[in-house]
Amino acid sequence: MTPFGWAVSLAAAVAVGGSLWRAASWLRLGLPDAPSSARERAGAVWASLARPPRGKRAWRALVVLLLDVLGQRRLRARDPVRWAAHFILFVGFAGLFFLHALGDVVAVRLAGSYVSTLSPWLWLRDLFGLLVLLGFAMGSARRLAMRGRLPAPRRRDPLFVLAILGIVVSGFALGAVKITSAPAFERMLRDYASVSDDEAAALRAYWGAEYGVAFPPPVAAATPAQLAAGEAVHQAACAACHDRPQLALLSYPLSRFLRDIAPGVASWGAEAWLLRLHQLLCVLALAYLPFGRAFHVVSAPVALLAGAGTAPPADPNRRTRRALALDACVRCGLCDERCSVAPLAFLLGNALVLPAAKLDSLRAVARGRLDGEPRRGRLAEGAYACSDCGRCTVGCPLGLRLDDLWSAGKDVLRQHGEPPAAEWVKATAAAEWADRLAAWPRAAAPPPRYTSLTADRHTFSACVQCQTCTNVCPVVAHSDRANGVDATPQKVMNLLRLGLADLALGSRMVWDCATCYQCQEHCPAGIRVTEVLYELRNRGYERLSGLPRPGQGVS
Amino acid sequence: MSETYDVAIVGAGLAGMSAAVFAANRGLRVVQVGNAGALLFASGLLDLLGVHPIEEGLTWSDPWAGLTVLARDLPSHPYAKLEAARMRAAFAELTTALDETGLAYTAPGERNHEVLTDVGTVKSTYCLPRSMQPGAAALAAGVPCLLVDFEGLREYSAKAVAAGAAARWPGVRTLRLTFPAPGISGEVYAAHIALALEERAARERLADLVRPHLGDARAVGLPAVLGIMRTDRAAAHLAEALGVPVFEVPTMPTSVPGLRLKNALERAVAARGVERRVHGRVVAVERTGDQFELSVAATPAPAALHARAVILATGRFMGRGLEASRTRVREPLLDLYVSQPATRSDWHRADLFDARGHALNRAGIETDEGFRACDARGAVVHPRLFAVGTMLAHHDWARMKCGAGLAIGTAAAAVAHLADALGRSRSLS
Repeated sequence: MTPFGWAVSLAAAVAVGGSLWRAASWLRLGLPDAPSSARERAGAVWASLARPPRGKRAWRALVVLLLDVLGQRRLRARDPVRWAAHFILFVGFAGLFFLHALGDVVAVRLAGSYVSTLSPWLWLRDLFGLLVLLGFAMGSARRLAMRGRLPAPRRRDPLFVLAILGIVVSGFALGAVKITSAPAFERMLRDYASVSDDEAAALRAYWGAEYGVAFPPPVAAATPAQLAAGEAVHQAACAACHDRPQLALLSYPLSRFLRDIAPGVASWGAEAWLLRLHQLLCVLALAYLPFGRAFHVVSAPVALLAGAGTAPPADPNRRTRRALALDACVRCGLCDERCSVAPLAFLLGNALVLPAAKLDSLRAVARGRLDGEPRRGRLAEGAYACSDCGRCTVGCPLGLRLDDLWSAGKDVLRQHGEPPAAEWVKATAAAEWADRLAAWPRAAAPPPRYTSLTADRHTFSACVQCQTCTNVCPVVAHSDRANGVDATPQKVMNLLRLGLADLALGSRMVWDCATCYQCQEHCPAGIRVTEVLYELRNRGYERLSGLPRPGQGVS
Repeated sequence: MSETYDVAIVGAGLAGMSAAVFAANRGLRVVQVGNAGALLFASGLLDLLGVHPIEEGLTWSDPWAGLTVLARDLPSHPYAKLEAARMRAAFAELTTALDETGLAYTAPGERNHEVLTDVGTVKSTYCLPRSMQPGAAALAAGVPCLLVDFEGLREYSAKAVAAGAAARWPGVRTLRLTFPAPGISGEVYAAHIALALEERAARERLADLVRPHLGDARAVGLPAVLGIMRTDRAAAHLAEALGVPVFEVPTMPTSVPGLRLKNALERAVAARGVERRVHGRVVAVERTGDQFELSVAATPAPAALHARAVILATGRFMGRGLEASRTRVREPLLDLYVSQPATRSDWHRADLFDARGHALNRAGIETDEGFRACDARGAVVHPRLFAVGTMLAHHDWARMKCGAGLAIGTAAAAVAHLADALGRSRSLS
């Protein structure tokens, strides 16, 4: 085996081993902390795989494979521009991979004696390479145009980008150098053509004039007779196999720039160096596959085929699906663009409100790093800011059940003593919160970050305490004596009128309000009751979260 | 440039809502600004004329006869500008509109009904909700009756009603129940009971609790809690389950009948294609050329409306149709002329409960025969600027028991004159 062959084998072994290691994480990681062992989960996966798909399921798998995996239908539906860039890059790279890199294995079976440089395929290799560059350029242009408009910077994988670009660019450079290379011509002449010295000279003259091979000086100007003879030899000895180099769509134009310095380039052995670089990059990229973003070519199809879109609670594979989703996310950020509460990320200065960053954080949680997670409080804030609208799930091009991840994340946070604010606020009576606020100087009111209805007495001074808001309030209607609201909406308005806003901050009414707007719709005095209650909740969150929680003692 | 409406109605109380229904019925394109919450202060009873003269506290069982006398005694009262036939037609048109939404009223007839109030007094009113009609019948016949109330419902006491009515209606017994629904305990609210009673099962549980106490009762009275959206069905079912007529006693504002009236009128105007700006408040009205431009303060953004006519139905002090400063009463939107006592010391009499009422209660907007607002000299301010309802001068609706009739009658007259002015005299029956 050649050294290159050894290197490829080694890289393939690393890629397979790394992929298995990564796939094993789908069985290890869990949200919430997995009580079932990896073995049990593997068994459950095996049990569902062992049922061969038939009928509708088989048909569905086929549709997913063709339309979702290969056609990337979900991405196209959600963002046609990104789909175009991604699909072009995907087609180009897949073409290079199967027809060029694996040409000996794949293409040969499809098209007999396929060699990417020989007739009629030379143009195809360059076309694939061009598609990769075009897709990459489209993606970069879009990203530049969107700069500053995306909610949060996404995690990048520069090695992945460098590998793809390096492989394609080095490939084009290699092609250009080879086209101008006189040593390459001589090698081909020696290996494939049996011609006399005169015929060889005529052939050189012809290739030099027609195809741009840069022969070392002195080069005599070719006579028409030489060219005619050269063409005859070319037709007899070369043309049957070798495409015209002009068909190399990008390499040939590139080679025109090299023409004058080509003899020098050839003498440095540039062709051999470029070949080694190209091969090295391919080998490194192969070995890197399981460790970077490139792995989505494996995990995304698995997630799509596994039907990650459905995760009923009784599904024995639920934890495995969640782990797979955590791993398969490519951080494309489409979820962030659709997030209903995205403005809160800016308002709170907390990127963990947004799905993509939150998912990253949940991955750390799934690895058991919640307690050491420095952003634990921020994660809780982000997790509970979510309104469960489900738009992220609908928007995910991989069909990941993000809503299920969020609910699992909230379960874990609760288990680790981070309940939602409504729960810890309501665990303490409103009056006690007011006392604590009064006794705790650090909780001195931070400047409000929201509209301040409650600070403007005109908001509530028109209240005549007519009780209409309470009458129409479904939360009051459905609260019983034990768990009921402690102050009806009308009483909260009265607390504000009396200048006792602090007493309202911790009241159950404020935290149980369903924001149905019935009170506001009915208020005869036109008071924005719902908006006041909502603002009190925000103010309460700001101010009470600075106080010690129950059980943490009050100094 | 936004759409130009035929008429902009400012206010969504009974007068504004009636005007919206009448105008839409006549094919006018209507925009209405205001929150209908003021209707929640309505009792649900539609009075025409209960008392006149108020000094004598004389009640009328035939309101039409009373109207004739009133127009002669008080020629500046808005009723003096209204023909009886128009009033009758207006009441019929409005109660028909309410019936269509599922809120049934007794048909406007010749006489007033007498109903028991939540303090045990008897009140004369013109049209009453069907759910209260069996109570009027039982009172008239004086049959034995059981009044039910609920633990924790602060605004209604059956004992207080029975005690107040004892002289007039001796055969009344009372019963206090804990309302049989989960989640309703402790302090309870009428609207929540009403919501629960929309459900058949809740009514059956209630009937099971009342039945053992029926005794000789030939009618059962409840506070006004028999459902919000489908009261007639709830009342009929409960009567069937108990085997005797069931009626509601009107309760104090803000009451469930007021909520029903608000809901029903909102549905009635919505069904007629009236454009409503519920969350807006008109802050200025200006004349631009042949039109009015109304500035509406609304969230998230202020808006401007354009209309060929304006009907002001902004009420009195509570609805902010009139504003009292230290020295005078003014109309805040257009600074219309307000007829009022010369000095503040004349606003009130010394005794708050003086039977003659207070001069301030008769302050208000002056109009011509067509309810067009007039200036201090009695000249019409604009041919298509109308003022209707309680904001008008020279009445004391609370003491005369004529609030609903004032709202409905003046709205009907203003709309009729407006339709004439716009060349749309097409009348829908």
